[in-house]
Amino acid sequence: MKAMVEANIIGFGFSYEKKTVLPAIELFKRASLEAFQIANKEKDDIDGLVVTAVPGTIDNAHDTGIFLISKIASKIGFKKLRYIDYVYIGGSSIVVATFRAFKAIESGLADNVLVIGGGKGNLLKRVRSSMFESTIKNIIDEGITYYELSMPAIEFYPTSDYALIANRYMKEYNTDDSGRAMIAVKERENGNLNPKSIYKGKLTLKNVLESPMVSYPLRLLEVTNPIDGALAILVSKNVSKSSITPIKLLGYGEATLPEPFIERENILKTPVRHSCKLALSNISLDKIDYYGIYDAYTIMVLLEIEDIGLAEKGKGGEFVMGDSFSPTSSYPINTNGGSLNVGQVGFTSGGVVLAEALYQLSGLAENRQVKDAKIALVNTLGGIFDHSATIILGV
Amino acid sequence: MVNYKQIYEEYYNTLKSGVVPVIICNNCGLSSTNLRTSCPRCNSEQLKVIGAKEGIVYSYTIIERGLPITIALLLVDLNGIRVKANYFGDKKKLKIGLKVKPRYFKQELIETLVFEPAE
Repeated sequence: MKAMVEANIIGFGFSYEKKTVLPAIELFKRASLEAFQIANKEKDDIDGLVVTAVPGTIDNAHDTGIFLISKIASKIGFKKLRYIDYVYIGGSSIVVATFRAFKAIESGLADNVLVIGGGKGNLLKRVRSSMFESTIKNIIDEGITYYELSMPAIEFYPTSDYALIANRYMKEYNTDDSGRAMIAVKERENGNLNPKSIYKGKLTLKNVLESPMVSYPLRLLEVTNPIDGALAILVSKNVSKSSITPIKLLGYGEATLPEPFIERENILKTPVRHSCKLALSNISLDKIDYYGIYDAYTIMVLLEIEDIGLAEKGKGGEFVMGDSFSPTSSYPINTNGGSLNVGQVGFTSGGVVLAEALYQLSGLAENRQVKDAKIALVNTLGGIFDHSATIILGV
Repeated sequence: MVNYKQIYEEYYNTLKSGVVPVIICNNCGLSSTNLRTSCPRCNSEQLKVIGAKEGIVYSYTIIERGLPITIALLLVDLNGIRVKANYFGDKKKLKIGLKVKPRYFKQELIETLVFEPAE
């Protein structure tokens, strides 16, 4: 299969803990050192750095954008950077950042680009609540204007929006909770095969359906839990010394839904169909050996399965009940247990499902290894179905 | 120079009267419950506010964790235009398709409309 760009992923490191006292940049450093070891590269080889972190997950709240990149460069000790980038577009950021690393090499901006994504999910978890800082009257009196202002409502963003989507899904397709809840069961079965999965133990459909309600109809075991950690990926022009088979970029697509959530005629519509169509322009779906599917909430997985083209609209639940998810099934999905079981590293599920693609393609997935895994599709989402990025990687 | 204060005041006065403010573009007719300073479709700054009185529940959720209180949140359909708002009625009656009506609500920094069953 022909690569899109003459560059390859030659190393990666994925380091995380349920909760740590270590600073976020220390987590970035650990993941980076793992990546250098696999790639047989030194930090002095790095001339490009692309960082993504959810604002609020770094120790100092002001550390975003260029401030964060400068800090990483000085703390980890990159002295030869000639290309830097900071990506933050929600859950699809790590996939977008990885793509930009490939394109930077293609453009001649750098030869060895390190991508780092992560942070401390626990820091942001603490401040989640619905806050009202001003009334409309105060806004008028102070002469402040917004491009767009929604009618004030108490909500639990983004969970309550995904709950509205999940409830509407059941009405629209006349289904119950079981297909959606089964995603949590199947991801747990995969998580039980992963020694580094944080949540483990046997889980039945009944356990999921009886777990505490978070935001009807979404229950606790259908919602990911933020943890601390980072994924580092080294993309390079030169593959000579790497200890893994170089991973190629085979396809890529991004798509956006421009309308605000409340203005979408159908809230079950996602941009996934379009980003997948672009990514799969030269590869057919039946060539995919591993699927990384963004799984902050079970309902996201259900709609992605349908929009990737694995099931008809409304039939995602039937697909989940069938021969899918496990490494030995027809459709291996989130074989590390996904972010529902690994934890949501740095407050985003993108790194968790992308990292597993790299383990699978490198043959490093141990007892959850998909046999002859050659091509992986990773689909990620940001916001409330605002943005989708799909990447196809292969060896 | 457009008088933004005027559209904000129209919006606020409509909300205070207990009906949902709907912003309509005078040029192209695009409507939304999101208060804006220009139309995202035709870029016109000629906007006006009308009120919507009754709607049906397009989707709902009851938030039980993550907030200090348990509260129901609705996505209400007002003749094709939607608004996200809290529901203060009997939770047992809550279902998709339920007819609901707005009520003005003010408490500390929260000043908005909440919904209850229409009948």
